[in-house]
Amino acid sequence: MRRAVLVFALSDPANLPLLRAIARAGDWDLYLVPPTLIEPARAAGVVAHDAFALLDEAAAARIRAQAEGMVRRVEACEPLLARRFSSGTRTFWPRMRGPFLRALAGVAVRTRTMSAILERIAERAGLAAVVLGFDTIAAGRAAAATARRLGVPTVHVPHGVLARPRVPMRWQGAQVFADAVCAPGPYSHAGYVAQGVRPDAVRLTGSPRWDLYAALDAAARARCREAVAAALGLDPAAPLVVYGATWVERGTAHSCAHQQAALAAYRQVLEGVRRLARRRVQLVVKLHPGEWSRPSADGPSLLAGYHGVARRAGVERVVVTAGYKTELIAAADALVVLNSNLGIEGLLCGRPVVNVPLLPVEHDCLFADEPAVVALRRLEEVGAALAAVLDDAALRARLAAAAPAAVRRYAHEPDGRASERVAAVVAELARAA
Amino acid sequence: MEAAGEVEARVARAGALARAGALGAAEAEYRAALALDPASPAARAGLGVVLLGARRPHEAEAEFRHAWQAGATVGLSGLALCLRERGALDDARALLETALARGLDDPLARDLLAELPPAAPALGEAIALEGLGFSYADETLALRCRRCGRAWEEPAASPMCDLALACAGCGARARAVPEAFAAAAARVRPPLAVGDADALDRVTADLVAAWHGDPALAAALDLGDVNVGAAAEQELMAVVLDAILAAAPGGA
Repeated sequence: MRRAVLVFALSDPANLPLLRAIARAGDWDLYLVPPTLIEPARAAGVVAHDAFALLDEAAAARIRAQAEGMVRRVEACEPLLARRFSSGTRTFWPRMRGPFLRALAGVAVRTRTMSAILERIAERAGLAAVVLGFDTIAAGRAAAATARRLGVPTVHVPHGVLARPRVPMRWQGAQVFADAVCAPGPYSHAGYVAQGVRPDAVRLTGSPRWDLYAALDAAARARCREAVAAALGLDPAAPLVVYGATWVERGTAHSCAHQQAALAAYRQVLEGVRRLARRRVQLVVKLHPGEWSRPSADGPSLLAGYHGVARRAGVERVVVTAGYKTELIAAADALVVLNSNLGIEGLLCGRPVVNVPLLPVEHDCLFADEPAVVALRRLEEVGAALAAVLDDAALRARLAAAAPAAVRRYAHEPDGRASERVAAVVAELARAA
Repeated sequence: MEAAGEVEARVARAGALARAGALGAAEAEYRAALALDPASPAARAGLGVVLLGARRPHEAEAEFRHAWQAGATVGLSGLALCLRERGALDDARALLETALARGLDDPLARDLLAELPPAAPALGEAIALEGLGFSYADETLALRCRRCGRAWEEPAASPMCDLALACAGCGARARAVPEAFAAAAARVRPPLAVGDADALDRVTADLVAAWHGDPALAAALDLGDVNVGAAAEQELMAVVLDAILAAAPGGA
């Protein structure tokens, strides 16, 4: 029986070439969690399986029982928890008790499920390697721990560049739980090494998700523009501003400020577009998956929220979408981002990028002092920056001239072959195990 | 001229097919017309009608929007229907009111506007936001009805949502648009100064990273290859932060 690789949390369709490359690298079957890309992977010639199908109802029931038992054991320690989560006369436990125990129960199910999947693949076919899109979230950490016990190598393939949070936390990337991490570029490589990851565990591969941009020449971009205009009811001849919205990360005390700033940034973008109405500028809001796909996400009310703010700001030509990311980036006359990987993708496509700082400006955010990007210091500068990018050909030329160096900083060898390099790392570690 | 004639012929054929109920064939004809002239307002509007008839309002919306922006009146009512379909009642209302106020004479648009329910009052009038909670996944709004005094909680996926709120006690309604939500949130959870937020993050992160190492708790949390408390650090950070912020003076 052919050996297999478990692939976790790499379900962006842009990762399809990576799945193909991994399967080819060792002539492996792939087990996918989640199973989102199974059909496209099979259509591309990959033998792909739904990893959840390995667990029958009896196994699922056992896992639920184990999780419930764990919660009961923790509940028996409540006085200790109440003491732990208090400060002086203030006690935090009563408010957090419910969500805390629910989170633990959910994590117990997810971690046990992941471990059981790895064990089942190892028994059935032989597990060659585990490839993790996230290794800091619960299921990713469980996969790394179980694979280590089984003697199977783990490789982390990040979704984007390594951020530089003001307060490093291991669950935000300050620790790599997998055996090796594939750095998208030198910026990330330096970050991983600086935070203590062994240099030989950091492989400079590039980001597989960005491979597709290597094939996007001017003609392909023009086709993207036609396609996205037709799909979203836009005028391909009128200027197109794409705004990459973001979600509120609740894992930091700065989130209360972010929440205010996210709305303020959007309103500044709208004000900039409104001022350019004579140019028939069209705005497309590209929703972040972290906002669109949250558990209680309600698409209509989210769309209504963005549309309503635009209407009250006097902007009628606005489209809000969670799709067409590649086409929109490729087609944009200006791309407005919030300290985001979307900006790097814009640079890879040769698009003018305006970066809006959501974090305090002294923070070492992406694009600080980056000559290839219009890096703003204050939200109020958005309107003027948009006008400059759309009207000033000399500025666009300067940005374009500086883009290759910026790309090299964030993206290793943007030649469309990062998928192959990541697959080679997986194969090398699997051989050595 | 030849292409224009073909577009016109295809649009006419598509219209006939649609009227005969052959929606699939009509869609194909409209798309063939749009392949020849992507800007054709008649083909866009016709395709929108077919898509709406096929219960595909999200796709229809883009076609109607295109048609309306290109000057096809039929695009307006189609677009309003799509907006109503996806619950964007305020957008539908604003679209129709603006067009009619500008002098558009369209009985269908007037009828549609009359059918829309009246706008709900703003957040803070009948229903007030009194607190805000969050977890790794969602926001929780603590609400109180000013009419009957009932208090309850509702989840919200994003502060950018336009939420329709209703009191189950007396039926009072409110709408929380993002601007109002942000203003209320700033009151109940004011942004922290950068240094204060950093300090709080350090304290909370230390707490989240350490609690599960206590021997009694570690034994309770042991499940196979992981300490569940350690594996849950990312999710618990938000939960613990929420509790600490709520306990701060003025926190809610």
